[in-house]
Amino acid sequence: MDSSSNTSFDAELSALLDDEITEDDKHRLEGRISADPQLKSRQETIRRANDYGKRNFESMLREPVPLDLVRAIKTTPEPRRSIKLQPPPRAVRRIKHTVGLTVACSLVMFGIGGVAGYLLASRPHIKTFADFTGETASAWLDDVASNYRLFSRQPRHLVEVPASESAHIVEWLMATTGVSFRIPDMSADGLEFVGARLFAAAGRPVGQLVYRNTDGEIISVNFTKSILPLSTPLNETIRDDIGLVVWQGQQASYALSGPSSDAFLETVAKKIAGII
Amino acid sequence: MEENPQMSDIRRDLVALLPQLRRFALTLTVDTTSADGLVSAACEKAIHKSHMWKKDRRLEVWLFAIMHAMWLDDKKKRRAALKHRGEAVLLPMDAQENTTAYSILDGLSDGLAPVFLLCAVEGLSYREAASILGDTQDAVAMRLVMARHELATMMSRHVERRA
Repeated sequence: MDSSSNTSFDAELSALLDDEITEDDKHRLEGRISADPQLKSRQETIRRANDYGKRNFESMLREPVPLDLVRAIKTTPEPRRSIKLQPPPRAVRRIKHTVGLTVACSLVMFGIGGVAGYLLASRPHIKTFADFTGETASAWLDDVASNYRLFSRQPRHLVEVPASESAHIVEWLMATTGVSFRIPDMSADGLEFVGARLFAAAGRPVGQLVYRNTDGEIISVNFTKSILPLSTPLNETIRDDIGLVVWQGQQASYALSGPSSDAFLETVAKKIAGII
Repeated sequence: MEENPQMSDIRRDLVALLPQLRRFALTLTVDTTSADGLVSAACEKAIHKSHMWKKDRRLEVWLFAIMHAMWLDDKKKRRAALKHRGEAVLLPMDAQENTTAYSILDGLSDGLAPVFLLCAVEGLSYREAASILGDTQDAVAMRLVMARHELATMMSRHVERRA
């Protein structure tokens, strides 16, 4: 067999391997191969070379993906939609500065100050500037992330109460956090319930249900009495290498924490939000 | 709960596809830093143009096409810049990555690795691969034959070294 017929035969063998050949050509080629041991050996060489290449390319998938890349994608802003808003017609009204108006304005300002003072005095739990400015939610999430960072790396001390004592976990965390809940069964999603723990975040008791995925990574569900604004939608944020999906339920605030490289945190959070 | 399901889905799907996207980028750029930059830029573009993605096409296939187009653009610009400075075009490869998988990328002749990856590994048809790479189906078929020949040579060298 000369080199040009070799190349043409190799092209046919290659197409056969990729199933890019008609049925007739396939039968003809297979007939030729079975009749000629030299062609059979050539087919075997090409098949082995193909497997060698595939094996090596497949091994590249096992390399860890840089977290910066994951973060860059998750934090890419949505495309802006250009919407032209017509400015509403504004009626220009001139206000005359009179003594009566000045007195009225002063009284209104005095009233607002009085009401603000009364409200603050009647809410003794507002003790810090963070409480007053609404930064408690952010502080809570920081503490949840810190807790996850600390405990997810301690496989021997992951939980306080193991999964085998589920009834006790529900009773204990309900009594301590004041949040009624169910332990979501996430085994269909490859998450094994490991147990629970109690900790404090932003000065509040937080219940934590701990799960382990098939890669051995820890995913935890954290909840406390409502701390987030009522309108908080389910959304994902990233703190370094930790992904947090937060949402507000009927009576409690929730945060799912896990590795930020996990692409399915939001999907898991949605499912848990429907069960817990 | 308010959210934009299409947007969050494409981001999530892109993160899940990252190993595959990086691997394809590596067949083009050969070095990891440029590959990661290419993947990041392509994903950003895909998110911004997500309304243009036709759901009947696999997301990774769309991303492969975006990446190839961006890489070609970048290659042209770099070639022009280097030509202007009178230097040779070199694709660097990190020394620490000289494992068998990476040596395949380095060992295959120019343009063979992406074709092999798309058809033999990702399982795309010659037609799909041709449309991603902006080539004809015959050219894709010929490059696959060449890639398999070169892989056979590499494999025998690898076996000899181990013997």
